[in-house]
Amino acid sequence: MMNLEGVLEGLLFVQGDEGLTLDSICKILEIEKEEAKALLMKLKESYEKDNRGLRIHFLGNAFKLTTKEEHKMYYQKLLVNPENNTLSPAALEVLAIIAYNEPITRAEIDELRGVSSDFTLRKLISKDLVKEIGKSDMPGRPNLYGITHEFLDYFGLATKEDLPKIEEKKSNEEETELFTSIYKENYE
Amino acid sequence: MNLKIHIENFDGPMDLLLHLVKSTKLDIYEIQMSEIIESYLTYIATLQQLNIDVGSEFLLMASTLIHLKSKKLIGKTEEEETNDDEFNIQSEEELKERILEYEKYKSITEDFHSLEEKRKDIYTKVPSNLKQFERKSELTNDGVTIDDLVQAFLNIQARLHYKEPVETKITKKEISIEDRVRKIRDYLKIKKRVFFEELFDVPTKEYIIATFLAILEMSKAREIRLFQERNFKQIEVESV
Repeated sequence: MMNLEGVLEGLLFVQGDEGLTLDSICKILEIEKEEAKALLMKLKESYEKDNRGLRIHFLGNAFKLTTKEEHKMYYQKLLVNPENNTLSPAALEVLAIIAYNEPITRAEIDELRGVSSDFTLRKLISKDLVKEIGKSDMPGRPNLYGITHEFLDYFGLATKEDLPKIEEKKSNEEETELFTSIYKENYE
Repeated sequence: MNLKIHIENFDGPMDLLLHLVKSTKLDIYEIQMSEIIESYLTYIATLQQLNIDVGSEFLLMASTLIHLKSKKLIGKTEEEETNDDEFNIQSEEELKERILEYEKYKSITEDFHSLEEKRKDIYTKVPSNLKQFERKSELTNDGVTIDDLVQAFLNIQARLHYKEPVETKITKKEISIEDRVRKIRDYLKIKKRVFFEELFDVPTKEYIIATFLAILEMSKAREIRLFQERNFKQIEVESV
């Protein structure tokens, strides 16, 4: 019997940033989910020793072999052009709106921002962070957009559930009601 | 009004409105929206006076705000309200809601930015290229020699030979007037007198033309005589 922990390590290496889902691990190794999870945990633990340079991360719904955060400074010495390429504030805004409202049309994004998002949206699609996920039933059947696995990986998130929670400012409906009525009174 | 703020720093009119709200240092629920509307309009007006190009979306918002302001001044009645469809913000409360909604996403972008930065601390690699391991279908050599290959090639050549089109020549027979003159002369030697149409025994254009010209030539040389008993009767040809 082959040591499956070793096989799993090799599989993760080969897949790189594409990673492996739990399902595909089960299928390839012909094992049950529980067994696959145990294997992953065992491998993950052995990587945690400080004489190892890799780590298993769950990013964008897949297990991926990555380097360790604490070794970052050494990898940066390898970079020819170490300047940080990050997304523009406008791009982050559009991404946030899509992430919390998907599926959403471009018109709805524009409405929220009060400005055209056409160019930004196209750039995000070309970066695979956003994709078309269908057509709206509204007149003209505009495209509906949603976030991708690449989006989750880009922000180091495992699944959609890991999105930062938006502060609910209007949590108390009664308070809003009261506020509105006072406000109206002030007017008249 | 702080004029050091440049319009390009604002990512659209909602961003500018949010900035104006924040610069009051008050909670949005305590702010009089009319003041925010005033500051927005003053700001846009100042920019225009300074000949600074203001984006159309900022102007659209300005017109929406002016509409809100005038609505409040006039004190609209119920039925007038129905004709306001072209403005997507109908009340100051709605404007406030819209700014709040925008702020929700604006503020979360900072979280995304730090997540983005953190993710850059780890590296992954692109998937390995496994092409080299792809199994190719095995070839076996059952005593095939180079001669078989040559023979195969020759067979193809032979077959190609059959496919070649058969050479043919398409030529046009030239009919000269002299030729026709001679033929008509011979004919008339035997038959003395013939019908004009009789001479046109081959129905091709060239033959008909050559024959006609030959008849004209012979007639001109007074070698033959053409006559017709009466109109529409057949023309007859007679050698002189």
